Amino acid sequence: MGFVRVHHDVQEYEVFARKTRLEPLRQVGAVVAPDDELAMAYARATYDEERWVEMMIVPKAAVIQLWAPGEAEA
Amino acid sequence: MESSNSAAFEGLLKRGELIESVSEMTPDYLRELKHTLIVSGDTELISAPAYYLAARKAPSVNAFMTGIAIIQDELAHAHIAYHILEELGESQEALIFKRDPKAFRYPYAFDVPLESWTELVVANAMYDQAGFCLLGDIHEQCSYGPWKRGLVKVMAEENFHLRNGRNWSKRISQAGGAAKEELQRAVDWMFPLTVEWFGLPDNLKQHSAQLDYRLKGLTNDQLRPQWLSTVVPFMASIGIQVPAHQENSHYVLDYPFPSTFDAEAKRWDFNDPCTWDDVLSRWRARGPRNAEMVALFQESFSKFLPQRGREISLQQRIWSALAQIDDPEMPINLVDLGVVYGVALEGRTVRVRLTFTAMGCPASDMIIGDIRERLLAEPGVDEVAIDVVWDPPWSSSRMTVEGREALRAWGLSV
Ligand SMILES: [Fe+2]
Ligand SMILES: [Fe+2]
Repeated sequence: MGFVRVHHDVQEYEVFARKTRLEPLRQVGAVVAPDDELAMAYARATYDEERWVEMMIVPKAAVIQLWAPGEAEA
Repeated sequence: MESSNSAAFEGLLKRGELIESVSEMTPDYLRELKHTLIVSGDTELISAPAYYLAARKAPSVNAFMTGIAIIQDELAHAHIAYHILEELGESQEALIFKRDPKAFRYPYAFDVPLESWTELVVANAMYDQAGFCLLGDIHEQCSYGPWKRGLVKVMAEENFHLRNGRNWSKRISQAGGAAKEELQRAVDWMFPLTVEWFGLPDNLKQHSAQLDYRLKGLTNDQLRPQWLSTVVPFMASIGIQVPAHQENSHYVLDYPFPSTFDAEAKRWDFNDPCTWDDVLSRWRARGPRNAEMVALFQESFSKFLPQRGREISLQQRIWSALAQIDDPEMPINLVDLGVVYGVALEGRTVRVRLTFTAMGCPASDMIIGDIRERLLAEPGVDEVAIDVVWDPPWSSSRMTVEGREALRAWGLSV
């Protein structure tokens, strides 16, 4: 997905986090930023609804999808 | 990916499943979804400047920080909606920074300024409660997966906002005296405005496709009472009057709905019932602070552009140049003062439409001279033509927020 922004070279990052050591990481949202540093800052500031025990971001371009909703069920 | 298959789509919708991507949607569903997201994103976004202008009046540093935390939440909520819109193919920057203020789709209430800490906390207690009802319904019903999941965060935070509003309202009411009177006055104009937030009665409303598509579950006539059933008892519990009461299990308004509202005076005239057409035209015309609220976040964007080394148009350079020229009598530049009505380029000639704050302004020749000199210094400009216009007449409402601040700091009340 191409984003038209002030910064021309932005990319999308998925944000993952979990509240306790017991629970698995889950996707809590996404941010769009020109570099990793800014993406980290955006993720911290935007998804601050919990005291996360762990948080990480992944460039969406690095995610390899095996199948999408609907495809495996067919 | 296969192209959208409307039978498969209907099947998903009927089974109560979630839609996950554009490839699964019909074009009609996509259009309704975008519309619903725009209303939500716009409402979250505009609440930030509206709350900010009032948060500056906070009675303590701690209170101010709570206000700022709420504003930060609202921006994150707006981000969630606009980011989804971006994934659906809209440009986030165009939606936020390039739309005309009047094109934003948020409730009319936000165009009426919140001017004190008391009005801010009443907004938290009533507007955020309205948001809580509306978004809670979407969160429960929404058939679009990414939004349903995004709303988990939003709901948790709206709950915090309205609790903040209630705690402060209670505190102010307990203080009594003038503080309590101010609280009552705020509730007096804000309560009916929030009732309006839920829109037209169902019998006057066209059937909403949002219900068929499970973009929401409840109608206006179901959501409005839900809000009343939380706000009316709460206000009674803290000794604040509202124009509504309980009858058996439902709540009844004590005034003709709709009624006439004077936005400048923040006053309802319950002796002057009006029609919904009157209300719709008031909403369409937008309220007194629409342009100023939108400018609060749009202005900084255009300032941001040149710093990024992007190709700057001559038009933009002319505007920046005009913003460097101060009024000879006051510490405010011509753009913030709102006297520049337009800039047009005709080849290498710049045509400026200019007004003055008063006719026969003694400084007018000096201002014209300053503009001519400054713009001629700009590369690409050979000639400057200045058209002085008196229509529309200048008024202080044309000043930007920065302009007002500058004059206030200088000691002038504006
Ligand atoms: Fe919000
Ligand atoms: Fe809120």
